[in-house]
Amino acid sequence: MTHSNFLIQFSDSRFLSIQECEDVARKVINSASGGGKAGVHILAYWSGNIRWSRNIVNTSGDIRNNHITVTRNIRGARGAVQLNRFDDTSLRVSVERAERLVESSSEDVDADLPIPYFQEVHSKPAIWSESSYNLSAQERASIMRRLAQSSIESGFQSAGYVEVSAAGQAVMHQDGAWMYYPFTSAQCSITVRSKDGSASGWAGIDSHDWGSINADRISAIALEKCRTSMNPVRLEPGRYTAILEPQAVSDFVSSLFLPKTLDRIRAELNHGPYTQGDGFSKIGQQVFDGRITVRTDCMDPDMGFPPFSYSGTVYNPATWVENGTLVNLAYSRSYAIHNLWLTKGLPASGAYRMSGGSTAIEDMIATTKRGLLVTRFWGVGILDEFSMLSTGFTRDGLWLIEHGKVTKAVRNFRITESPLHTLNNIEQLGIPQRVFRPEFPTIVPAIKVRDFGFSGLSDAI
Amino acid sequence: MSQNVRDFSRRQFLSQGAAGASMAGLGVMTDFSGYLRTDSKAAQEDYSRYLIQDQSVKKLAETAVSIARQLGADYSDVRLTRTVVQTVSGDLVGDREEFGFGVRARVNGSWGFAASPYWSEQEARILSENAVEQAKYNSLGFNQPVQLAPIKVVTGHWVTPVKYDPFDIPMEEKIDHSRAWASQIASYRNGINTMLSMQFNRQERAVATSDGSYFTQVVYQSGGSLNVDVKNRNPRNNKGHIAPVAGLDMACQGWERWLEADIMEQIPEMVEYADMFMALPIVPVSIGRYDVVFDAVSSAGMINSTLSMATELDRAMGTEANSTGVGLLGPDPIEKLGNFAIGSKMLNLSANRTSPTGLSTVKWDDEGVEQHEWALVENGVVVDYQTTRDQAESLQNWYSERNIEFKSHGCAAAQSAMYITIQHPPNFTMGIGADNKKFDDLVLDVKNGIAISGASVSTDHQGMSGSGTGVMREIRNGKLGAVIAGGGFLFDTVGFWNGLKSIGGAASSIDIPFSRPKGQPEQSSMYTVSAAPMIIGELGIYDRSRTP
Repeated sequence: MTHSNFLIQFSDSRFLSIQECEDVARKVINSASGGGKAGVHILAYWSGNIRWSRNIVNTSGDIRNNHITVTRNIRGARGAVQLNRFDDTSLRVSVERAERLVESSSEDVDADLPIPYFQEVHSKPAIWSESSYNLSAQERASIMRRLAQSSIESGFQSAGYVEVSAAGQAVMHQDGAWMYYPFTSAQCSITVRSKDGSASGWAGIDSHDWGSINADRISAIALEKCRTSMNPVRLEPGRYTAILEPQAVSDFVSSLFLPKTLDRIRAELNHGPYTQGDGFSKIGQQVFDGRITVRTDCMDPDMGFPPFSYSGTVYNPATWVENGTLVNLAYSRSYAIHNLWLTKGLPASGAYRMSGGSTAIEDMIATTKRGLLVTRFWGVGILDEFSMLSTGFTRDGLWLIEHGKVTKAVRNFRITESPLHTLNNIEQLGIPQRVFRPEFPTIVPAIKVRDFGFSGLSDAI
Repeated sequence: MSQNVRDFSRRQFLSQGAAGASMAGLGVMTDFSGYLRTDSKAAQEDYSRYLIQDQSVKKLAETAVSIARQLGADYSDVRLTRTVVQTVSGDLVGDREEFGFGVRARVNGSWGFAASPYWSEQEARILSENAVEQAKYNSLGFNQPVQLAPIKVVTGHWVTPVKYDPFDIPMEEKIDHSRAWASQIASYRNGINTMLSMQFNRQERAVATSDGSYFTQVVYQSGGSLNVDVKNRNPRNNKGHIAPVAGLDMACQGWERWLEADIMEQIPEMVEYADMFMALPIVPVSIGRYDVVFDAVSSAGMINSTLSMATELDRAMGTEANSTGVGLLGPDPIEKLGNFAIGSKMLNLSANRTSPTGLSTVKWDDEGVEQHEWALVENGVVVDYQTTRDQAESLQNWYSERNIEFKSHGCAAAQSAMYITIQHPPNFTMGIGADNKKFDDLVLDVKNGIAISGASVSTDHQGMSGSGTGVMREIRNGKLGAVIAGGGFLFDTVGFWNGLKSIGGAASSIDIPFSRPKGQPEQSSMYTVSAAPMIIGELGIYDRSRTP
């Protein structure tokens, strides 16, 4: 097998190597006859996992699979079929199926762009981790036992999930484009509950590198959050100063940075929070507090993600918000050519880094007369696409702060609030940290925000 | 339709199988799919053949089971699946075929699971070894071997009864139909648009268990949506009224789901209703407590979000604690049985995987349990749970007290063989009212209240409280009046169902499809809730956009 210098040597065949992906893709391209173009998209992956609750293992798994999409473009129409095997017959049949779909398919908007497709050079983030790739079923089970043991010893119940995976992602087009990139991912999340179900604490993180994940620390945080959540008091709903831990910030504001929300065409079609109406977006306008800058870059060492999408779009670095001003929205290559006289698109991947400050959570607490400390939110749904008014629940750790100290655990609240409001009512900002958001690396600070809307009580624990 | 050529030459399979191991570095690859494609031009017709009934599939499954047993598994089950999905959404068409081979093994009460898309003898060994190895590691330090509920050994083949296999119908024909419906509806009158999406699923499944069961099933799911958008006749009001054509929701049926929906017959009444609706006065929500009439869709939504989740035994026991949340009947769900009133005496809920078009319907579950109907809630009291073989043991004493046979309720399932078998929701049926009332009759029974249709519901992570919204209208002296803007309802689950005052009859009960994510890695499966309209007393109505 030949590998470029940045590619890893495979110790076994848990997923397709660069050579194997290329062989598969060439077979598809070669069997496409009768004009037009063909393309192949491959995500070949292995993943190993373990899941537990009440201190015992529920399930575990070791899975290898492929997502293969074969596309045919003929006379401006496109047909695509998906399969998960790559034997010769399956590939040949998939090309025939795609060709049949072309006949009944819609026009391909990108088929006759004035500037021909060429392969962009993608960056090469360091997102391969031997530590993720080598975390065996035996080690996963022993990690789980160790984590459960700490809960058993303190009389609590641990539930959690550990998953590691490795994948090769490849794209080939008949006109010569060919890209392959291998990467790993890892995640660990833990919920510790009291035996009577009256208290719950959570912590979690994901990374490409299992070696950077301290599972014992995650477990200890979840346990501590549960322990300090016993005997919660019921508070009146209302507006409170809130200290949102980085996870809570991500749970609540990430809806502002989804590829769909950041889409420039949608904004210009009068949808979403960044529309100005009348076919204009808010690019150039102040949208958040001046301390907020939001960027996406797969070469950011804390953010690393595959440098091109499954569909083959290369992720170039992007700044969406600079010092509170919306400076860019995402667009496709066809938008770039038709509207901006550019040749490259500016896609959003869902990953992002938000700038922060330097205030430690302890200092945020110490400077708060009365407020709430929030671990995370759950079930956040958007009520209004323009104001982004959202509703959801607090979960797994909520405390009252009085006169600079955490004084009591508090029963969960329903929230009704807009992330736009939150990012415009910032008092203090913490140091940005990677949070738990698998597949979409997210780095956000803790935020102390004024007048956060806790709209109703929830008895859920 | 042609359900004839389901057989193929075994000799051909064997000859092609050996030739397929061509992929460098992947010695495990065997070209198993090639054997049935005798005619490569027949790419479409290819879907009309089942692969699962062949003896070589049986041999693979049984080989994997016996390897797992030899390696020390107390129990193992093996599944092979082939899933084909076709979609039509406007002008976009999709086509997907996915193979799966999954081995689940149990050692001292701990599970291990391994899966891949490759159907080969080498792979049977790789997967079995892997699954047993995991189970052994997982069982270290734990000594809680749970008894699997007893089971009868089963064999056989079962297929969802369909009139027309959707995969025998060429894509062109499906698209022609969709375009014809869209243009006929649009030509009914000016200012009508349609949005159409079709989906057809077929999953072929073979299951072998170390108890000796071997069976194959083919499950069909067809449907989608056809929304009709009627523009206001008043040109100054550009807001339209959008409503779905009835009878197209996903169901265990074939292409006939679309052909028999009587689409065109529904249009005049839909347009008339839209015109009437758009002429109604609109009033702002006035918060307070009201008697609320739920249409059948809204009742089904409430059952799905509350009762169907609460009666998942694994959720109640805490397995979903680290993902979508525990149920409201934990942490000791067994002690709730027979004494926890989750609703008023009128509330009855049963479960099944047998209803003819129910999306969860099969003959046997993935552990080989023959399907049956059972009660979850009787006269407002929780009496049973959704179970699999390893969950049923905790209910053994309760069953013997009540003189009920100790067995699994057959809820073991998975999205495909690529996912481990866990407890998935069956179909749910709400007990209907005795006096055969319809939605309009229930409205007549309410003096001053609110009617809600097409509600969508969301709850907290324990299913204890939640909110919903839908099309809301005032009821004044038994008559539907103005449309209420911006309103929703808030509820706590137990209070809500204890407010149940009246339920519609059999004629008003309808089937609504749902799916629910479960497990990590997340998987989901579809099921059907059959529900009737109902009246809930003293329900809290609030202004959705009000912030504190």
